[in-house]
Amino acid sequence: MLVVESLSRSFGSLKAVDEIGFQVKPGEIYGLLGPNGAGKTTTISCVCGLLRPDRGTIELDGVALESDPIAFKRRLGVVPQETALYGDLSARENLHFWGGLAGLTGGALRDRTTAVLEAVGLTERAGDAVRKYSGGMKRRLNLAIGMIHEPKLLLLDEPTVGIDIQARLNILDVVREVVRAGTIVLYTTHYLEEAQELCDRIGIMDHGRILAEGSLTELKRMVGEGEILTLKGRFEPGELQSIVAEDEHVRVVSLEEGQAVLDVGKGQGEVTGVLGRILRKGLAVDDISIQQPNLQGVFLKLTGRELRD
Amino acid sequence: MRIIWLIMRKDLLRRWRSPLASLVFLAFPFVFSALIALAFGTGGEGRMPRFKVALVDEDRGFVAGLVRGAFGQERAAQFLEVTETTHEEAMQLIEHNRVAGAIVIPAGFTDAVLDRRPTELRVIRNPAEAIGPIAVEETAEFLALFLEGAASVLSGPIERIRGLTEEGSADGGAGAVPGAGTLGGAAGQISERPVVPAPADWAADERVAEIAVAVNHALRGARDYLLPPAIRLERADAPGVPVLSDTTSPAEPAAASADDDARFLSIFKYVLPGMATFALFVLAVGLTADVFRERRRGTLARQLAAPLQPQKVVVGKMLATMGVGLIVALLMALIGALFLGARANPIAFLLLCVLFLLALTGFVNLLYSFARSEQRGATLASIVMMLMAFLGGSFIPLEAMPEFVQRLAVISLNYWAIEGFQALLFSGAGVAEIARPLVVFLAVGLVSVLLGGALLRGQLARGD
Repeated sequence: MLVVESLSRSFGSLKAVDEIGFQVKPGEIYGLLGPNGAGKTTTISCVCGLLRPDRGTIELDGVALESDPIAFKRRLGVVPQETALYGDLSARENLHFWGGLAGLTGGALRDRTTAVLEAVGLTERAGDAVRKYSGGMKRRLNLAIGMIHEPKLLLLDEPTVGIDIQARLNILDVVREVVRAGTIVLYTTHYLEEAQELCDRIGIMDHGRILAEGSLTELKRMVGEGEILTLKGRFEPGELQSIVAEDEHVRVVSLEEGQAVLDVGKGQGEVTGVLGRILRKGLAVDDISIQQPNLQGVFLKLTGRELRD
Repeated sequence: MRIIWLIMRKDLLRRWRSPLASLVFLAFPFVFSALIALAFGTGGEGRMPRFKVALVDEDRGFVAGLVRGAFGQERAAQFLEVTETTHEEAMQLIEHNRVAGAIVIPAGFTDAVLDRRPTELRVIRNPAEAIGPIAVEETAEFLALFLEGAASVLSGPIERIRGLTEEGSADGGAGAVPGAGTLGGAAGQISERPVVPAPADWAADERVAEIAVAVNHALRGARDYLLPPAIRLERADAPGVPVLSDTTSPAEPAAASADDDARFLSIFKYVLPGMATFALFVLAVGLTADVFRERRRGTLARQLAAPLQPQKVVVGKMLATMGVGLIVALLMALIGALFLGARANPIAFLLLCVLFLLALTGFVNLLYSFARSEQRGATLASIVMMLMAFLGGSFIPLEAMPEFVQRLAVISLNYWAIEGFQALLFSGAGVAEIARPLVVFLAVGLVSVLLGGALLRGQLARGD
């Protein structure tokens, strides 16, 4: 079990991670979801020992990172956001190097190299220099390196950024396979679909804090059965506020000049009625979007902004 | 050790797969040394620094006067600053490193030349200097060659000159050869002025004019001749002066050669250690910057997330840099041995290379650890590298530099490396003789590795 408690890390006056905590069980994928700058990578960096937290503890199967970093890291596999590979070396040589650093030797190293190459579909190109690989192949090798030593905890930091759909599906399949074997996976992404599809539990992060946590169902329940109405145009916040103020079905999630996010209560047709009232008052609305209850809706409800803002 | 070996092996494998940079470092010292040797050694446009030389005239005869006069000529003065002195004072000047060497004109030199008997010019080299003694030897060789030619071609006029000098001696006392004639530095011509000043009571003007005409005729006809050597050049090192370098072993018999190729190789050999030292510095700076490349690509962070102590990453990378440097140094030594005839004690050479590279990579690593980016690190390292190269004598021989610069040279790693390599390559030194550079390198290496490790720990703790 991975246990993170009261984790904080600042860079100067910026609180990159602010008192966060979560637990992940074996065979579970925990997704950290948030926009760029939310604190996901800082959290991952603390968990893999690259950054020393200002406060808090990190434990894996009872081994504390602070007190025994080598033992902790022996149980840890990292798949960083960058394709951290050596282009001059082949995939096999890369795996031998990283596997060797993780403590594998001799026959075990060779066997695991063969196994992970097979898992990510790179066996036939294993002898080629990595610089000749496509982006998707590099990503797959990046993943293979993280799991070569069969870690207890696999940290995946945006592992599918910038690759085609086929490579992405391959990576997600491999991750599911790893989890079936009982590995703990901590997964960061800003792809909602990926988080929805893959993660057992999700922590929504913004400004260094976990705003909400739970399974997809639990998170949706937080939003309720209502819909999220987003309006963009040339209106003053006060104008909109005066229209919706007395509507008991509408909660203003965020309101600023030219943009408003409204949580419109349950009941089909409610959104249409609210929208009609707004437009009848002559508010200059240029763009309307209606969001069904999903992670995007959860994120919007919690933060008042789009995940990719 | 397994982790360090893995990291080192990985970096060496990467270098092997992309060898261009390392090959450039290998070629660099040879190309630059050859250019310098061409410029200074075989009639290039470049100028040698001005060297100080002591002249000891134990002969005080007519031909010795010609030699003394030759040093006063404009072209000779461009390269040499001559101090006339006694033998004892000359040795003191060498001992205090004030001159690159001494040329001794022995007693009886004039008589021997005029009689066309074999004789010798003695060159005493300052073993603590590198290139200066070569310049002194070259000068003496030129003089020997010129005087041989003059003695053969001017045999007729010389007899008459001798008559004059003997008359002069009879009138003016022993050794009274006032002034002596002047030699045109490069062309080997005797000037139009009288070879021997003629006091009114010496000889009639007509006789002097007659001799001058004969001299001119003889020289004109002899310009293209090559004459058999009659004056031997004897070389020796000044005893009791610590050896830095020399061209030949002290006991080696003189084998004077004015041949351009020989001169080229000679200067090439002297310049090569400085250039090789500089090349290894450049190599260390270039390869150490790889830490920043690894940081940029994320491979450094990934290594630091592996179950290992962070210092092992630094040590592994340092050892890889040292490995590449050692290969380059050994290849340079091999080329030097095959084409320049350079020989060195292999154990001492290896030890010097390893410890120099340890100091170098540790030091450069330390420099980089002060920088926050690859660009800043490279700028800082380049500035320090150039400063050390100039101070240490990689580009310009130290003896040609002002005294305060020479005193500062000890802070340069290049200085110690050049001292060590020159002693090994040209003086047949062993481990004991290069103990000073070895100790310096070991100390610098250990201190910089420890300091660098401490800085790394601090940086990791801050998350830099």
